[in-house]
Amino acid sequence: MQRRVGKTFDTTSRAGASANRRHAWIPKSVQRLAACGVLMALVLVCAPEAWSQTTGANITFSANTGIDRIQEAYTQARPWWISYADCLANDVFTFSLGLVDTSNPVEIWVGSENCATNRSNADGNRGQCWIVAKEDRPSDRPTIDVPVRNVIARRVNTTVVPSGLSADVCDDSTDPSGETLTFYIMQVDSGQADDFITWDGAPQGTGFDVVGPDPPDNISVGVGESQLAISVRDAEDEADLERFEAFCVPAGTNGTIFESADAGASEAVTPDIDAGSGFSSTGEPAPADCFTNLLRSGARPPVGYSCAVEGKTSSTLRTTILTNNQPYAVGVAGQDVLGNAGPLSNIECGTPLPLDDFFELYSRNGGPGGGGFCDLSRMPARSAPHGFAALGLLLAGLAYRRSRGRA
Amino acid sequence: MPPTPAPTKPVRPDQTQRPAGACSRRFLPSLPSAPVAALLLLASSSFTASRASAADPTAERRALRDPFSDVSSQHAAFELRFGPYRPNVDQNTNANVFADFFGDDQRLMLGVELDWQILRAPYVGTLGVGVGWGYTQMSAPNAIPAELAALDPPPVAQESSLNVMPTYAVGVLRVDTLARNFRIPLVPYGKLGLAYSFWWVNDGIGTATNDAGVKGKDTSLGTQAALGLMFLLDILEPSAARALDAEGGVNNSYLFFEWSMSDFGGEQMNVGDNTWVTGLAIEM
Repeated sequence: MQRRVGKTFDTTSRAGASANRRHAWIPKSVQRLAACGVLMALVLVCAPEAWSQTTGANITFSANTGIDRIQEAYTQARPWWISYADCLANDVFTFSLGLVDTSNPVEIWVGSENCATNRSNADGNRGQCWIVAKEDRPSDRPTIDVPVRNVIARRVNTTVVPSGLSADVCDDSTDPSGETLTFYIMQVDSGQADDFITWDGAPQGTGFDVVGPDPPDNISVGVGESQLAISVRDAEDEADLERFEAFCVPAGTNGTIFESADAGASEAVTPDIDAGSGFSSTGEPAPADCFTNLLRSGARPPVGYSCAVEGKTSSTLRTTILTNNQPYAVGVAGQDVLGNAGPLSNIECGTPLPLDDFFELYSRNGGPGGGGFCDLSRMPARSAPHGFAALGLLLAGLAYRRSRGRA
Repeated sequence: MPPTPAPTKPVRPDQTQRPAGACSRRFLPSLPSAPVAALLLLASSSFTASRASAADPTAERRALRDPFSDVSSQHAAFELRFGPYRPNVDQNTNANVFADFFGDDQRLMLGVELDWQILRAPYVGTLGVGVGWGYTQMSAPNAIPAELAALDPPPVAQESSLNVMPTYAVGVLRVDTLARNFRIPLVPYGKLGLAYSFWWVNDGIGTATNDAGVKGKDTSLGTQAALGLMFLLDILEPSAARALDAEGGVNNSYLFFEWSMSDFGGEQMNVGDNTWVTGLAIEM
């Protein structure tokens, strides 16, 4: 189920400072009172947008920037960063604007440098800015959507907004640290930025990071009942690593379709098994004893087969409940703060087996007890009288002391 | 030797004015009258108040010569305990299940005990009640059933753990007359009472269940007894001990060694053990 996230934004406008100076002769208390009144009126009028900002510039935000996000499990710390799961689901940034002049088109660019002050740099030649959305005939309060795939695709040699990008672009980036970006919302007149505002997702920033960290160098699988214990060895302490995630695929499971993380999405994502340009396609396949084409060393892990997640300091991952006597192919990937899983480690086989724990053996050999705490119904046949006698003796002594003291 | 600071902990007037042999009732509990018991042989004799020296110089000098001389009053004892532990689980089973599963190694039991020293018998020691708590855990890989063992399965990584958390309430007699009256820094003691032990088994995923679906956690009720000997550490550094008494209210500190016996017979898991325990104790 999609959920829209909204958040207060930071803006930079060229006209804001002069607007403040314009009313300097009015006492500040009156200004604040008036501002409160205007704000309340706007809240009432503009609900449910609920928040509006007027800076006096030609272009302003009229509501909080939002993002329709599928997977939010790991994005609280960096809510405006685009993860691999966001890309697969093709989440959308939404910018609600207010325009004074609607005669010029609105373009949204992203980049790591100033894409507006010298728009000639934004034509793609330098590769630092690229267009992600455009509204040729905007209303005075346009809402412009930016698919995150447009951000990740980095189509730098065009001023045409890409459309209909496939999930393959999610594998375009190879930088595990990702890239910090700033959105430039510009009104363009004769090829030049006439006015603009920026949005950088402050304070956590915005950008994209779709590449997970490297896997542990080696794993081994131990047997348990309805469970496997995966030992992670020689894991490098790299900065991008946040946790380990294990993937367990029943032997013989072969497929070509990876479902999108968005259960409600109409699009079925079909990435390559070898995971595209981001990862090696030359890794070892799963061993023959538990072969599946869904797991391959060096490839991206498949969605839907996660069986354990532990912090990066853990040396053992204990899986969720698995089926006894079913061979599984098991691989481990590193995960970064956004939940991006990196390439898989070596693939090992493991088969949960029905085992005998201590209490089962104890009970089978006549061992009494069990059933829960606070069960006082079974009094011990031999020991309790001795203990009660000792305690009674002690209490009796104390009572006698007290009675003697009174006398 | 530098002069000892004046006591900072208030001393009740009756502690210094009460004649020796008088009975102190300050810490007697409010209990109804009850029949006489054998333990009253101790309680019926004269009792003194907890000793506390006044702040007069003579007493100070005497105290420095006598490491057992208290500045503050003495109410309680606290023990930090540890020792090997191997529960006698197999006493209540048809086979050596515990030994076969967990092996013969001893496990470490950590514990604490707090005693309320209710009465003092002159030339004998203190009599009080105490409560104790301990914890130990033992783990071993789950066993592969015989029918699967022939298939040469890989190593088992899933472990069962037996957790034992005994608690007990005991009467405690500490015979400190050797140290107080004969300058022999040894205090023998004995304890007797009830033990109530919590135990639970984890099968590597959660609480274990047997073939009948009974959860592997329960309590066992039994007896607790101990005999021990404490060595008075105050004699090693009398001035430091006295300063600790004056500033922290710690009357005496000990290193102790104890033979502890707990038994949980009957239709319950016997998680008791006869074992030695050592640790540090302080009287406050």
